[in-house]
This record gives sequence, structure tokens and C-alpha cells, in this order.
Amino acid sequence: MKKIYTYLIVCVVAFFASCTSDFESEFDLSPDERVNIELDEWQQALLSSETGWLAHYYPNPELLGGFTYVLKFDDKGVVNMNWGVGDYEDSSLYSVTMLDRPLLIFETYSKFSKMTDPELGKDGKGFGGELEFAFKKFSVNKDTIYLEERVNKDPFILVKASTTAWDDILKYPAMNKEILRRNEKVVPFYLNLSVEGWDSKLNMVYYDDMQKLRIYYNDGEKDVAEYMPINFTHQGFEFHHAVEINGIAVRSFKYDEVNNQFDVLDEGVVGAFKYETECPIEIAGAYDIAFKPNGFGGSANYMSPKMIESFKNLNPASGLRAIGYSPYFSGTFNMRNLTIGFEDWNDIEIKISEFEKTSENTVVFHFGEYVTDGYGVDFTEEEINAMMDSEAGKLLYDILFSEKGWTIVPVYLAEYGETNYIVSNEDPEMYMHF
Amino acid sequence: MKRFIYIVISFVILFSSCGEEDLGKSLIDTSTPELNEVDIWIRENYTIPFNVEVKYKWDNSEVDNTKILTPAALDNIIPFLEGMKKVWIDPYFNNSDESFMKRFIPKQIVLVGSHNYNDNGSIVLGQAEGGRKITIFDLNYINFNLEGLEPHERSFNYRNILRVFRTMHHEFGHILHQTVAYPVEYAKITTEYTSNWMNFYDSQARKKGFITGYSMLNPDEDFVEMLSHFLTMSNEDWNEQIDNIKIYDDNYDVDIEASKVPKAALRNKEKIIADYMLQIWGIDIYKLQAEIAVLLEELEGK
Repeated sequence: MKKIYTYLIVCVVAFFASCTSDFESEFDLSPDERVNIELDEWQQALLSSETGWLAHYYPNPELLGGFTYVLKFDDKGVVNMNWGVGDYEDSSLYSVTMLDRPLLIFETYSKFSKMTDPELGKDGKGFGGELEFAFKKFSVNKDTIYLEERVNKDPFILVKASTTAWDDILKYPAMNKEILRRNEKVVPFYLNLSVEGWDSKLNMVYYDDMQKLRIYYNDGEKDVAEYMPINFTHQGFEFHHAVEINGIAVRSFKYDEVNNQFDVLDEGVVGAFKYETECPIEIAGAYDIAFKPNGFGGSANYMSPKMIESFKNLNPASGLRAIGYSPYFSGTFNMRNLTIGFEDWNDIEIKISEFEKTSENTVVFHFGEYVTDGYGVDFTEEEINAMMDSEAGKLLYDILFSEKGWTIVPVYLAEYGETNYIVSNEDPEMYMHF
Repeated sequence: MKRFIYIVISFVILFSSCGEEDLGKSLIDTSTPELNEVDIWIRENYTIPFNVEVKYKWDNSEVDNTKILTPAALDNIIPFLEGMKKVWIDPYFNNSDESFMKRFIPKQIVLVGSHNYNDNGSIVLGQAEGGRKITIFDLNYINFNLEGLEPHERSFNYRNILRVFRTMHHEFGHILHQTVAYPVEYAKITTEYTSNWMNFYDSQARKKGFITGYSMLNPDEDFVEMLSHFLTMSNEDWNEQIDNIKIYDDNYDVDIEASKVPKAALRNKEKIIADYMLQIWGIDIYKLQAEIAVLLEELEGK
């Protein structure tokens, strides 16, 4: 009998347990339907701008400056684009999909893939960007879409592009050239920012291949040296983040062609980056980088036009010996010797006996001797003395061994690696690049 | 009594399982995604005939997340797959029984545009995973259109194309030996396997009885390097490469006896591979090599 009861109880429990209970979902729609609606919303947002979207993307703000893209998404899964480095338009397949979050994915190779290309930037590591971005929110009027990198979470913000954005982006490379100002007779690194209300100037050194600056300034209490990624605009450039001194913050700059300078664009702030002949700040550690034991050493691979002119005047009858068709002449300055090669295959060599550190970033050279029996040196002692006693010789001697010395400016340029300029404090148009 | 109990239970189950419920529409999206020209080409040439999925669109979950990689360029997908079908799938198909390729072709091919760097600076050209999936890297550095190129440019591009085709033969070789292992004697022919293989040029490796520097990594890599190089060279070039191995003595004269050692090792490996392919898979690699050589000559424009 017990068994019968047991079976009956089991049956009753099974009967009731098998009844379907109406689960009251908090949502009207299934999860899948809700996901599809959300994805469609993001997709429609991407398609909503007829002029496309503008994005200033910093793939790795700790290492690099920003890149600007204009992007136009279509409903076939293709995104057309161009970028501020400037050349032809390009396209990629894209998708809006749900993984851990709703994502925008750039699916095929394009200019955007440069952000993850291991051949660019750091060897095998690329620029540190990403191809997958999580949607976060729209602005109220939907003219801005906020996304972030899926892994590193750095922001990727799409702003509705203006009608001129696709033409404007072609002007970006010109701004890069304006900062570099190669082949001009200006000192290429004393680009100083003066701002009304600041007590001191800010000096910047531009790292060409990384689109970032090394900036030096005094914040009112101490000297500051920091890296500042920048992003070009069609008008000029902007800092990754504002620099604030005395409560006055600056971030955006517009190129002023008439005065050949970059004016501050920030509202209510007056100031400009101008080329000047003096470094406004003592760059801590610059001497040690250049002259300490096992420092970078090497020879100057570039000398300023004025410096070369002064060499030429030493022996005008011969002229300087060129190296092939290159703009460089056959001469070196290797921190111990200055050697100048003349067209008649004769050289003059001036030895430096000592370097004197006069501040964190200045050095004075002390004369050693003229070499008369070195390799390629056929001048007699009398001939060398006559040359150096000439007006051109005296001028060169006074510059080289001036008590004002030379300023060392750490620079980084793509083609040379980590390098320095050494600039005469007597005449800043006389400088050498190591 | 027991019968009564079973009847009761049956009724309970019968009635409790009845009931019509409207399940609504399916939650699973079964619609076909919109296919572009490349998708359609892949479907017609890889998916339908061989049941292969080709993933050329970026999918982070298919690659090593610790590596810095870029997607493949869209323009390179069809030329690459077309060439691959010509010099890999079709020749195998023609030289084996009908089911061989359908059975062993990896069911997923993942295409990646960039190099895949290791921390030591070496580059991974391809990866095979358990016979199911092959990942091919480097696609963006190859120009598949050799038309109108100067001879030196053509030769340069051809070498790149050959490298990626060779990678596919290499990875397919892994699938074969992972399915049926090659004879253990193979691993005993040359024993100087080393993880520092990248320190050896191919010419140095050949003097040690290995066909390439990479084949010095381990016997498996040795086996598939041998197979892939054998199949992507004409028999004449293959023989010439082995016959030209020369070891020099202290006086810089060719040491004929010493030179025989690596040559014999390579020939021994060749024989084991030929026997393995014929006995296990029914494929005559000499015929297969000849067919591929004609196709590669056409491609190179000789």
C-alpha cells in the first residue's frame, strides 16, 4: 500500500510540475529582438550622416599623436574613408554586430587598418590601435556617436562631418610641413608658445614620425617636460589635452600664413607659436644625453646653410667638396674634431680640447689645435694659420669657441632616430644636427 | 496492482504533455546575410564543392589576440583563393581519389593581411589547427597580378606568391601527418633539430640535411617543409637543389665525401615521404609535382 501512495504522490507532483507557468518578462520583446533593434539603431545612426563622420583617433596616446579620418558608411556594409596623412580615398567592409557589446568592426584592410599594422610604428607592434569599437552613446541631437576601443577602451568619437570635411582633410599634410619648416633658414626647433597671462613661454620639439611633441615649460612652480600627442586639423593642429598655466588653458592652434606662426584658437585666449632665436627654458639633462660617457656621440650629419657658407669662405678658391649629388659636403664634426673637406681634396681639421658644461643644456667648446699631419690634410701650418686669420676664419673660430657656447636641444626625427641639435648661442642660424 | 500504477502514470504523463502552446516566431535569425561578390565567389568555388568556410573578414576570435595583425585586403581575396585552388586543391583532387580532398581539406580557411610576428622577430606564415582550420598570413604584401610587370618585378612578386602557396601546402601537410603519422624512421635521419632554427640560412640548413632553416625546428616541420618545397618546385629544380649541395674543406675545396651525407639524408627523407603519400593516401607525389610545376611555370610566365 505504501508503494501505491508513493507512486501516486510522484504522479501528482509530476503532473503539477509539468504545468507551464506563465513567466512574466520585464520586456515586451525577446532578447534576440531587443539586440536586433539596438544594432539597427546604431546602424541607422552611422547611416544618418550624408556627409559622413569625422574622427580624431589617438590609437595609442601614450606613444603617438592622433590620426584624423572621414568615414562614410553605406547600407551595403562598405565604409568609404580618407585620412589626414592625405592621399587617395579608400574603403573597407564594416559590420555592426553584437558580441560582448554592440560593436563596430572594420573588417577588411584599409587606411584604418594602418592603426594595427605591425609594419608601421613600433617594430612588430604597430601603432597600438584597434579594429573593433564598442558603441556607447549618441549625443542628444545624434550628431556625435561615442565609441571606445573594445580592448584598451580609448575613445573613438565620430562627429558628423561638415560639407567641406572631405576637401579639408586633404589640407592636413600641409600643416605637418608648416611645423617642420625644413629648408628654411630658421632654427627648426625654437618654436615657442607665448600666451597673454602666462609668465613664461612654452617650447616645443616636434617628433615627426610619431606626431607628438616634447614640450618644455614652467607651470609657475617648476619646470615641466612632457610628451604631448597632437592631431592635425585642416587649419593647424591641436594638443591631445590642454596645457593650463595660471588658469589659462590652450589646446587648439590655427596656422597664420601671413606671419608664419600658429595662433591660439581657444576662445578668449590670445597667443601664438612663433619661431624664435632662443630656447625659453633650460632643458634638464640635455648636456648629459649628448656628452656623458656612452652618450649618443656620432658625427653631425647635417649643418645649417649658414654654417656651410662659413666653411666655404675659408677657402673660396677651392670651394667645399660635395658628396656625390647630395646637399651635404665632405666634412664632419664629431665632438672632438671639426673636419672640413675642400674641392681640391685637401682638408682642414680643428681639434677641440675640452667640453665645458655651462648649464643643463649648454656647452662651451675649448680650442685644442689645428691638425697638420692628419689623413687628407696637406695644408702646411702657415697655410692653416693664414686661413684661420682671415675674416672668415676668425668668424668661424669666434662662433665655435664663443663663451656663450652652444645649446643642446634633444630632438627626435624619423629618419635619424633619437637625436640632438646643437645651436650656436652666438648666432642661432649656425647649428648642427647629430 | 503494478499494472494499475503504470496505467495511472501513463495517463498523467499523457495529459501533462498535451497542450498546444504558441511558441511564436523563431528567435534564431536564419536569414541569409547579404553576400557581396567575394562571398558569392567563395560560396561557388570553396563552400559548395568542398564544404569550406573562408573567413576573410576580421574576426578577433579567429586569431591570436596577443598578436598585432591586420585584416586582408578585399582585392586580394579572390586572386589568392583562385591561385590556391589551381596549385593546391585541383592538383590534389586530380591525383587522389575523389573523396580525399573533400575529406581532408580544412573546413575553415582564415585569411589575415599582415605578417604575424613572434617576439623573437621571426614571422609565422601560416597555422594549422587540428586538421580543421588553416590560417594564412601575409596576404597584403602580395601582388597577384603579374601582368605587365618588368621581369625583375615579376620575379619578386612571383617569389611572394610562391611563398604563400608553399605555406598552404605546408599547412596541409600538417593535416595529413596529424591524421596518419609518418614513419618514425623519418625523425632519425637528421637529428640536429633546434629551436634556434632562425639562425640558419636555408643554404646552411641544406648542408645539414634539412631542406630549409625552418625544417630544423622539429621532425613535423621538417616533414611538411620537405613536402611543400618538393611540391612547389619542378623535379628538375628539386634535383638540382639537392645535387648542388657542397661542403668545403679547410682549403675551400669541395669535400665530395662530406657533401654526400646531407644529399643522402634529403633523398632518404624524399623516399619516405613518397612512400608515405603513396601507401597511406594513394598519391604519387612525382605526378603531383609535375602537374603543379606546369601551373607554376604558367603563373611565372616562363
